[in-house]
Amino acid sequence: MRLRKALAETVLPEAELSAPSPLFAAAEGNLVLRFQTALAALGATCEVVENPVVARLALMSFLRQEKVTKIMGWEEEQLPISGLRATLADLQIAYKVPRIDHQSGLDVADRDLSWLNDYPVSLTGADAGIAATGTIVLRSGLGRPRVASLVAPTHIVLLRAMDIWATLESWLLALRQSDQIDYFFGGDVAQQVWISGPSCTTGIELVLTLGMYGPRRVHVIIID
Amino acid sequence: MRLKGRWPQFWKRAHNAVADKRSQQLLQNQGQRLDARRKRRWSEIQDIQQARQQARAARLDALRNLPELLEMLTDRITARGGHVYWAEDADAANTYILDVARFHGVQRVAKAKSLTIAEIGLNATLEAAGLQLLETDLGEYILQLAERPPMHRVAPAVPMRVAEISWLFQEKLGVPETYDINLLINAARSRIRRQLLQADMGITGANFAVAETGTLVMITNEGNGRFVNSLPPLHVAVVGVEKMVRSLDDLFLLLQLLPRSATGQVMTSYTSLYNGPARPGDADGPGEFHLVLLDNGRSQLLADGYGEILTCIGCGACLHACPIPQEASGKVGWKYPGPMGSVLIPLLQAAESSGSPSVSALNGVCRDACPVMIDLPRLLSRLRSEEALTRYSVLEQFGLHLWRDMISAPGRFWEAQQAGRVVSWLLGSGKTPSWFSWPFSRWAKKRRLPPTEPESFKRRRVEEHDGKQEEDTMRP
Repeated sequence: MRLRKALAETVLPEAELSAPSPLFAAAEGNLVLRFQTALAALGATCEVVENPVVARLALMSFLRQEKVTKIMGWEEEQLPISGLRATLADLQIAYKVPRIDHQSGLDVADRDLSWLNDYPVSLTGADAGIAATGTIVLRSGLGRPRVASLVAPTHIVLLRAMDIWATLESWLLALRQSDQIDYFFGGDVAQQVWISGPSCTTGIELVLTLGMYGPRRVHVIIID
Repeated sequence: MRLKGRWPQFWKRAHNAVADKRSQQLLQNQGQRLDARRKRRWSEIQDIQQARQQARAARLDALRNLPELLEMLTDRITARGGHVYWAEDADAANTYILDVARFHGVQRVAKAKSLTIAEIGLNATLEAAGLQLLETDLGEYILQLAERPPMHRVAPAVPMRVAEISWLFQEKLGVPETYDINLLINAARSRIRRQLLQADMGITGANFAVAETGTLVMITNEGNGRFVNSLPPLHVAVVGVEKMVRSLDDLFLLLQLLPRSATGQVMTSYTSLYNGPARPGDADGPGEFHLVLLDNGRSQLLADGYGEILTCIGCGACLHACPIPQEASGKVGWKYPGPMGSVLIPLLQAAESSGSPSVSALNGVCRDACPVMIDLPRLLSRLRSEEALTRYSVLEQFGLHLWRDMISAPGRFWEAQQAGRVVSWLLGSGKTPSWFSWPFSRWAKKRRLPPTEPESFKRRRVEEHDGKQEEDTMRP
């Protein structure tokens, strides 16, 4: 009520609302290439593969190089590749989909999440990639734990090339045109995160240090 | 309107801040670097002026329709199982948050950096109630250990040198002496993460709130905000009512201007968009969510005609562009530093507030650097004149009135000049008037009376003009 009264009493500067215009001139060239360039500028790494099978092989190769014995990530049906668990089992790499259930009651006295620190690598899919900014969009939800993109020092992302958009505006326009706003911003999605490169800080003497809390390494496998 | 804050305390802090040359240098370097980065990023946008106009229009539109937009947000959050509390002031917000914590038996609270939370003084309330409070932003964590206030909007601990932090970590955390920044950060990370994983309640702010979808938006680089709003079973967001935007289109525009103007990044590492508690079946996320919508003087500020300052998106570009706050405001203990703080602090009922609209060069660079084109010089000038009415002594006000009356009439101004010339001749031009008695002796101690010109500027100009005309008429 006080707010309405205040607004009735005040005079705000005039400013004409205009139709949104693009921030950037339409860029030429391959979207995947531009996305790769933007990722590199952010300090993330990237590889492009032909199909989901090759993506699975690329993933296994990456994990072998890292010499990991366990990883965490999204449920397999939320990822754009299949046969993940069986292949990981062959390599004797344990796969965990973390679940931290706070909905059955807020028992704040007895929780131990220190096991989250035991996973050096995490694996997720992605719902969209933005070429202009190197941003990856991840929705949380069923089979899509938030911690999978947050806690491990290395985060591997599987992204389909068809989900890459030129700019944030073009992605939003596509969502509006395909009536998908609710899919990303509606009642079923409690949280989404846009990730643009590794976690970083300049908290001490402005020196850039990667991996403050979130992953210090982000590796994107683009499935063309 | 009554300006808030304790004036003498402000001056004392300002004097101390100006005397601290080392901090000044670090803050100045930081400001210049970030200002240069902002300019570079702005140059990448095809029409930055149009983008700024659009952003300004979007923020002003949200402000004009604030009650409706806030109701839309409230409806959407509550429909998803969230709780919304409208807090009239800091006390109401603190009491509500403390009640929620007590109801759930909370012992450990993790907090992400937020100026709105600092504004209401929540830390002191929680600590007084015996709760363990963990600052999760690295800079804020260092300052919490050092028991110092934040000194910079973007990098709160920037004036602290690595040796100082090393000594602090040795004393408070038992970390072996090292000047390796990576080792120091590792030490802080392992301790903060361990405590983060045990936190019962997470408290964050938000950079924006979108009415169209009922979404709150928080940007961070370290990822601490994501930990705080994802891991603890209870999440409380404290958001000033002015953070509203109408639509996703407005949000997308502002999200691209904010990091470019703040740190010169294209995007911050993490942009979290959240809208309530975890949904049934979700793998993780808080089971309960509370949104505290904070007024705390903002309605009054609007009614008093200062609403434009509420369109600020909190990038700190004005702070980096203006030469004065770089050197002083970070150290005077303001919750909102820089030119926007110079406007906001005296108007809000902020805890421990003390500030002055005088802390700004008033040269317009703050307006030119602002991505939403806030006319800060206009607001600051208006505050300065109000300050003259509310804060200056009767003697000072009398002097200012006398000065105004003198310079507003040419005749009176001429008479005053003649009188000044006589007084100057009597005192002796260019000398210190040593015979002044208190209170003028303090004023005269470090000053010399300037020698008086034999002729006034106006008279000289008239003579020069006449002489020139004479020369012109003599030319063939």
